[in-house]
Amino acid sequence: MTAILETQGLGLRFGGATIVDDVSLSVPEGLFVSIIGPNGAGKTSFFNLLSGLYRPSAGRVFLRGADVTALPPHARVRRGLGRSFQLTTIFPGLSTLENARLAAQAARPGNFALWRGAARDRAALDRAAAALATVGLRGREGVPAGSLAHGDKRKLELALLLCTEPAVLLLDEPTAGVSAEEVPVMLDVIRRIRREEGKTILMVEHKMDVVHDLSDRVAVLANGALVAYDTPDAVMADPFVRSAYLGVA
Amino acid sequence: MRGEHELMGVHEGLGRYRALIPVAVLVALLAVPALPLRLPGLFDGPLNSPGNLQLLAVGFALGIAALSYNLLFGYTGVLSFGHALFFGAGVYLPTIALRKWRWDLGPALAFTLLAGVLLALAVGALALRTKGVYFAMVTLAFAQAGAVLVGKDPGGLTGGEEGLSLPTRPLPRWMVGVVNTDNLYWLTLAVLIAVYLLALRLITSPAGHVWQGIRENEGRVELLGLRPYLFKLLAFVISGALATVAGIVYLFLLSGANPRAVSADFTVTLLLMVIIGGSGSLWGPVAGALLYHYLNVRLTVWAGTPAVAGLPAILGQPLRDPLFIFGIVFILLVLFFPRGLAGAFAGRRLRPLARALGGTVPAREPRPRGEI
Repeated sequence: MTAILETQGLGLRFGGATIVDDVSLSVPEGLFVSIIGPNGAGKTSFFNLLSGLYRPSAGRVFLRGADVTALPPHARVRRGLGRSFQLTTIFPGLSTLENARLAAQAARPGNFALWRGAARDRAALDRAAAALATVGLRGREGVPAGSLAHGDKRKLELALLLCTEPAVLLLDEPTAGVSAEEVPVMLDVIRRIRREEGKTILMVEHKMDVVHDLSDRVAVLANGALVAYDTPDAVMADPFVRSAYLGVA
Repeated sequence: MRGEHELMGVHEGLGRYRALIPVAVLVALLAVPALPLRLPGLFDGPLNSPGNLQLLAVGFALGIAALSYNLLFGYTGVLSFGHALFFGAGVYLPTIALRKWRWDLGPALAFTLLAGVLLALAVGALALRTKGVYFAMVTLAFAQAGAVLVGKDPGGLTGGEEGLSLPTRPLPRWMVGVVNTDNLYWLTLAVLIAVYLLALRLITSPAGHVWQGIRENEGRVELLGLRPYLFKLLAFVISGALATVAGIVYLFLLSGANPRAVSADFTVTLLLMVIIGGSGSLWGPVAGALLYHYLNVRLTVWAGTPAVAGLPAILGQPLRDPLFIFGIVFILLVLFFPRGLAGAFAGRRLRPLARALGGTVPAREPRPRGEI
């Protein structure tokens, strides 16, 4: 299997503090990789390095074999990297459909066009409708995104990602703040994305049962360093992980 | 949601004629110069007197400026304090070209438009490297540089504090003199309509939708794979160029350039018009500009009436200052219509009316307080 996303010696320092420490990680295409680790382990920072929001102080990032270390976030999205956030980022004042439609438009040529109606691009509208159906928001199209329930906002953010046609999805705690009864629904949505769209997914998650259930591989970060990267069962059996993270002696 | 459906039901009858409302408003406005209508108390003399036509036409010109400002502020979420620079270019450059360089009208206007676009491109390209308060300060600095330049009267070009009158020689006969005020009224209205339709096309275009995405969440736009900077620059240049157009028609109406047109005061006035009218629609700022200009002129007249002059000093002195009254009106409007005239209009029963006028009746929540 070829690596669709790869980091080599990736590091991030703020002042004297080492946030991400020499992480070399290779993610084969089509796999579901969860990233776990205690609070402050550098998981979100690692995602910010991958998506280009932070510049690394050391190391490189490769996407589909190409070095993207120097590229700004929007250029990485164009190359197939989609990102969701721990705190949902959507367009609160626009309708749910327009949120997804704008994302689908962004993935197509002609964004600078001024002289035709945006709504006339049927392909973008169809893509948006399909993505909303995939995440289970059919019937909510006309609702302002800002007044959706929290769980629905998280689903909408996933729909936005799908509309940008990413090859790799970075999901930062997709179930954070989602109510207990909504968590299984959210996981179903993620499974469906995996099954129907065949995406490679990297997910930061705290809920161990979720991680165990969804992942092909689990990467463990501690103090910014990659301390384990293996199948879920192997990682959970690792004595270092058990003591350092799972809190089991 | 149910309440909304009920409301729609009630207004289905109106809904059928929705498309006719802007047409009716348009026909009424076009017909004003031909109608010897009297609205006592609101306007002195017949509505089609040169004075009243001038009042309305200047309101239209300011409306074009406010509309152009709102493309940037209301639709892209970019708060600039430098808009007067582009409006001022539209006022000063034709005057200088016609008076000092003795150009013909055509080349003078072409030069002005080109200069307006290039100026906006240069200022925008630099200023948009910063965001928020810093952006506002950088644009203010550019505009102040323009105001100082005009005030210093380099080479006798701008007339300094005195301003500069527009020579009548290069103008077509139909534009000159008080008797032709109705022509200027129609000209200004025609430009307003053209700019309105252009803006309507722009905000519904793909780029226009990206602008609204930037207003809602700039970081998300970047993570959809687009570069917000370029889209904001596009909005800035178009907005600046349309302000230059507004400056040109304003110049024709006032037959001269006055340094107030490039002042920071003027930009703040535009912001007031947009807030009064509502930043959520295209027509709101135009209505806000008309209301602002009307009050500004009429309150001055009202302050001079014997009734006000006869009041004791403690009441009469504040009431004689139009800005005092206007301040109160503004506070009341912001308190009771936080989303402006257009917001009040779109809010409830008049929703179909608002839609008919081409306002986006957006599926949007009220903005969080203090977001401006």
